[in-house]
Amino acid sequence: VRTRPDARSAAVWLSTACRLGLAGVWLWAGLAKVLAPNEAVRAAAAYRLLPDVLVKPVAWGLPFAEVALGVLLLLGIRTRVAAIVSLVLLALFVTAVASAWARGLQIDCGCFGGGGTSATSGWRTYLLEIGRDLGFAAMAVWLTVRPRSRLTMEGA
Amino acid sequence: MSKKGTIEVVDRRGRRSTGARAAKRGRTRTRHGTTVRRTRWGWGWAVAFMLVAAVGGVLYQSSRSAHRTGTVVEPAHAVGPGGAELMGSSAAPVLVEEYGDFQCPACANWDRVAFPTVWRLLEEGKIRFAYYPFAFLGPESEKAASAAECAGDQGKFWEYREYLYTNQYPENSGALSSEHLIEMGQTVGISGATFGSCVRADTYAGWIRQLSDQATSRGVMSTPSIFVNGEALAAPPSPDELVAAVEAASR
Repeated sequence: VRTRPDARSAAVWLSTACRLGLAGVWLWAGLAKVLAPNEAVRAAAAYRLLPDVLVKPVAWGLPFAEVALGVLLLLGIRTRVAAIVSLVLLALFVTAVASAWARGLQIDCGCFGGGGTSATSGWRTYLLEIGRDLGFAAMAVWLTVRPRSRLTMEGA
Repeated sequence: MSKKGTIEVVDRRGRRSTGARAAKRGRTRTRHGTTVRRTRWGWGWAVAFMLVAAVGGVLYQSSRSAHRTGTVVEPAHAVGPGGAELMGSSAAPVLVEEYGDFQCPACANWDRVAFPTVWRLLEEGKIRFAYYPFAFLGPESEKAASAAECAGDQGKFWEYREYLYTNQYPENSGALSSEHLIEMGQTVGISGATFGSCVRADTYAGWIRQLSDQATSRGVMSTPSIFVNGEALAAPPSPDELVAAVEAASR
């Protein structure tokens, strides 16, 4: 068995950072939508991806699942499972945003920022959203490979 | 069942750990005479936990949404279709409807660019114009929309609407407080205490939530949304596009 204590402990701390970072992301994203269910419904509807009957269940249920995921990560319980689920969710979100972008939807409210340069603020918003999600996905990938971390309620 | 020191746990990456705590988990197999336990990822209850949260969330939000609308006070002046504010002669052949949010910059922009044309079409008797105050962007949108209905009680809906659009503030920045909304009312010529108490009490907040839910059911997903004779236009029309759509509809 290889033993490189320094490398290993650095990796463990990196995993800890990724785990707590992702936990914060999910808790924040989830709670914001849990507290504003009407806005969540409109946001979900604006993607025009889901059939009407599924819009409300997704807009209401997904935020709670995100909070649950955040709790698992925060406590360090089933970290690898949580990391893989994070990855799946992030992949879905990136796909949804990219598809909205590709279909030329002006998502959120059709309010093009302040200055009226709608075209540029549009693609910049989309790129920023996708880039941010890919950053979170990178953390989830690392956590999938190295789920062990400090400050957990559970061994691995 | 476990003797300390003889139990070894091997996870999926082949890392080993020993001890009674580790031994509690996992499937047992034997290798080289020692008891080796393979840890499982524990998909079962972790995924179940998230699914239960999701289902619970749906049930919670749907039970709450029944209560959330709260008391619905219907404004006496909301005589348009679906409770919209309405202008124009009933003889006008075309109905133009707008869903707008007082905090939405695109709505203010459309108002500035296209509303002079709306006025002209109204004066020419070609259209009736219905406006739905749609609370899309959060609590201050709802408050401002409710205040606009209060202004409508005083016969100043359209003046107040115009003032809100020409004096926009960053979204939900605290600018649309009761005091400020009341001041705005005084600026457009509303006097008397009734307006103030109506704004402070958010009298029409429930009504606005109901209008907004109906708008969502009608497929309104962005603001401003314009309908001509019941048909949604794909995007907020330019003045020329609006005139063309109205002429097409009146044929």
